[in-house]
Amino acid sequence: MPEQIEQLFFDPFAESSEQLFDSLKSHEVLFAHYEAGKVEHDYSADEFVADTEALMLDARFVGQFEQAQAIAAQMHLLCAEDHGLRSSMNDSLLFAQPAEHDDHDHSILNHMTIKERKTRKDEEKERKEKRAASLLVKFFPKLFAKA
Amino acid sequence: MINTLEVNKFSDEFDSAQEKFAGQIEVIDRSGLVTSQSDAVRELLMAQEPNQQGFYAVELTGHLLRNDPRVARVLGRIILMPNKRLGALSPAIITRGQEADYDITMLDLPFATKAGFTAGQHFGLSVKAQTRVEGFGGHSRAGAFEAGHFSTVLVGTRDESLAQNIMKSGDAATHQVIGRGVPEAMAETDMLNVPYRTVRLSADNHANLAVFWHPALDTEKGPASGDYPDAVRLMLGAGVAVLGQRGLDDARRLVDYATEGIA
Repeated sequence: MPEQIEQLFFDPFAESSEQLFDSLKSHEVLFAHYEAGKVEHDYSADEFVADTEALMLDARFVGQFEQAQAIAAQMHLLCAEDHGLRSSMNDSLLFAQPAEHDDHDHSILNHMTIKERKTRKDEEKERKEKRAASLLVKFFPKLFAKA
Repeated sequence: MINTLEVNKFSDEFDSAQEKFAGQIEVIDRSGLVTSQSDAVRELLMAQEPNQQGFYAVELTGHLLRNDPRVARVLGRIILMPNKRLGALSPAIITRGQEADYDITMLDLPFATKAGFTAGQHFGLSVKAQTRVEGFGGHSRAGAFEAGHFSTVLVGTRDESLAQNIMKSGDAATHQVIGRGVPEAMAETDMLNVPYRTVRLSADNHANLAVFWHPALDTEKGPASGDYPDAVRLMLGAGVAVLGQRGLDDARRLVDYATEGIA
């Protein structure tokens, strides 16, 4: 049975009863259309793209798109809360490039330069290390007692 | 007297014939149509000969969708598949699904050899490819703008049942749309004027697909792929343009309601 299937071609877009056909000869009719020059281009998608690209350069549209981005920000925040991922969002923002977000990330962190972000991260690390050291001294004073 | 030998330049014979008959016989490319000699084109065509209309059959037989390495050379590339409704070939693309499956997306538009592969067709299939890349609709690249969630909100303003789902289930509802296919959802709600036909095949599907290629799909970068610049941004722009200010207000209200629900 599998060997028989191997000889068949499958048209995933056809009706279920017509999905399997025996060979590429089935396409003779299709190629005859090309031979006869019957296949004409449909410009609908091309016109749509050209119109949209032109519209996106319009100043009024740019304002609407910015509004849309603000709504998107709210939606994304909602989804993150839904997932309980707010903390991971904040973490990833430390490393995010503003360009990754279409230059429209309104968080404070993304308005910082990369150097500023690194400095902030280093300061945080230093603060944690100091705190850990002070806790060690507090709970294990003998370890740090002078001989 | 024979002084020329015609060989398809994508076959192994071409190089060996050139070497063997150097200075004696001129070896001519028999395919005569393909301009690019990129490795990707060679790999895609696997030494096939074009038919009389200049189309190449791309061999994708056997266990096509079962981790077959032959799938890799086609994934994300623009291919042509028979469209019985139109009696023509239509541009198509195969992309990975979210699970162990594949989406085969075909534009319900004819591929005409005179016009070739046009911007509208390139955009349509690129949107599909670019909404299937890793990270689209995800949370790891957090920030103010995430196209996957936002496109779902746009669709929600035109689809009452989706709007209800977003208010009720929040993120889960957005991922249903992202998983099903964002461009298709936007086209169904008249925000994209691109006719899609998408089928999802399981990775276990045992299918021999009829796939073709034409030299008009050749580019300077190799076989055409879903790389139309900023296709997703253009898709969202189209959605915003269709919705207008009133639609944006609806979108804002929808997110506000949903936020209240989640809170």
